[in-house]
Amino acid sequence: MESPLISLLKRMIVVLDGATGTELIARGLSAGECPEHWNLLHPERVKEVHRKYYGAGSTIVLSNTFGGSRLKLEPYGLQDHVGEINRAGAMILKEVCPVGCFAGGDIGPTGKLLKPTGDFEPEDFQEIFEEQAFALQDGGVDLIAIETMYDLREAAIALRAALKTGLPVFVTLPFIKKKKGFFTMMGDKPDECFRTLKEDGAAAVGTNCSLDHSQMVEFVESLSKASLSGPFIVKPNAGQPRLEGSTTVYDANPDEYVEAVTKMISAGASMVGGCCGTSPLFISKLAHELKRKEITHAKRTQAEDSDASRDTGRINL
Amino acid sequence: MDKNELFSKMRDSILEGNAGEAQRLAELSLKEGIDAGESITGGFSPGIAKVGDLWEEGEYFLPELVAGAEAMKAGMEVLKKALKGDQKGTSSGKIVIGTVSGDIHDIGKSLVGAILSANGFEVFDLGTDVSPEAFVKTAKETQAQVIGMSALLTTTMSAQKNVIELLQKEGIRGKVKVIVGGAPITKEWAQSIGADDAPADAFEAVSSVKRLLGQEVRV
Repeated sequence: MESPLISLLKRMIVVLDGATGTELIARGLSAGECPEHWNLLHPERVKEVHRKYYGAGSTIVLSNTFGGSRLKLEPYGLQDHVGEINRAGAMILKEVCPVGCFAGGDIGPTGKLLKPTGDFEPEDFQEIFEEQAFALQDGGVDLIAIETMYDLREAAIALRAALKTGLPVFVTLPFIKKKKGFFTMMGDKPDECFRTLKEDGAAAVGTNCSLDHSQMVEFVESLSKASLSGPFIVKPNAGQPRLEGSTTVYDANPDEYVEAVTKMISAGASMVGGCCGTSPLFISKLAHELKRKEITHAKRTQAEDSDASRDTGRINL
Repeated sequence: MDKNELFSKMRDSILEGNAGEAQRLAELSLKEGIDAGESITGGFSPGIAKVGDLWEEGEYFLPELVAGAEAMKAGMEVLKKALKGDQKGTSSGKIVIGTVSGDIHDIGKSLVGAILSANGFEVFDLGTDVSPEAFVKTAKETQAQVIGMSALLTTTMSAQKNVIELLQKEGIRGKVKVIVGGAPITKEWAQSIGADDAPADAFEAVSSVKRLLGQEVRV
């Protein structure tokens, strides 16, 4: 039997959350301070950010654990607190997650590269991601969201690790625009990425970060039907960053963002949120607009609809 | 093997990212009595420049850039020792680079270092998670003309501003040029924090630094 979450993803437009980093900065996080450490030091401030996103209309909000892997915590001397930090991040989120909404455990990249370009072996990464995924599961998340994976190989390892929890797993990658089209920094092509990740068991795939909202419209429009069959995530950045006084601000117009996201939905995206620079305001405007225009159901092709009715057991829970 | 053939092979070794081959060819060139400086400008440099073009065109990506930079480094290491007295020591300039506090991303920064080094700059790479104090101290000690800072996260990028503020506090902001980079970094960001430029990639970094130091930039 299909879980409520999977049913939701298959049929509906799902509103996700926006940026966490800038929200924490607005609440006092300083440069050089570990954002994830706030799960232990200032849980009430982190909780407030989550509450604001659910309140704005997000159905799925992600934990403050993007940089919660062993390697990322090392510069702060917190590498032995992976379990504690991720569990706390999950618990804080779950505490404010309303009925009918979902809590997602956020896993970001290690920041290092695999051989031969970098120094790490796949097994090293597998261990690091498993550690984080299990801690998030312990803390009570409903799903795992693997974000900003600029290397398909690392994404696949993270996916494999997270799937060991038995939870549904989302994977999103950032793409860059080159003359020949969109690619990951490592040279992976979007359609190939999505095919691989779906074959490997991702419950939803998509893109976050790197591109701003107008570039991301172009990106979604460039994808194959196969990539867009099934739940597809878009989380664009809100324009470019600027320092105003001592605060980092992103200068995008929320209305432009909303218009762009609506176009992405027309092009086939079905799970929508934002990345760097977005805020509860962006999400609230988006949710409002989707409601106003009655954009509630995912746009799927005829072929995919008939596939879905045959494939209820496809997603491994 | 005649000189042109050797230079052509040198260029290819960079394009293919073959560090072993680059080293072998560098050693061979010295054995054949070819001027080290000529091998750099005629053989290896065109190779890395072509890598840059292919990156620009979207043919080469990070793995090819890193492999090309490693091959360049291998070839340069052999040739640098053989550079004549008047060629040595005339580095185009000194630059201190690093990734800012709390940030461990290093691939972009290392590439910038490699490409600047390949273009004759003396690079002091402080690694990652570098404090403002470390940037400033090293710049002073080495008398570097440029500081380059990398940041990849929204939550670490403002540390770039901290470094600039420290330079001002120490009264040496006017003595160094500051360039910044990383995925969220833009020209507008650079302007708003008081940096001199935000080159988009390692290859742009070369022309940016040359321009900032008043050197001729080959188009």
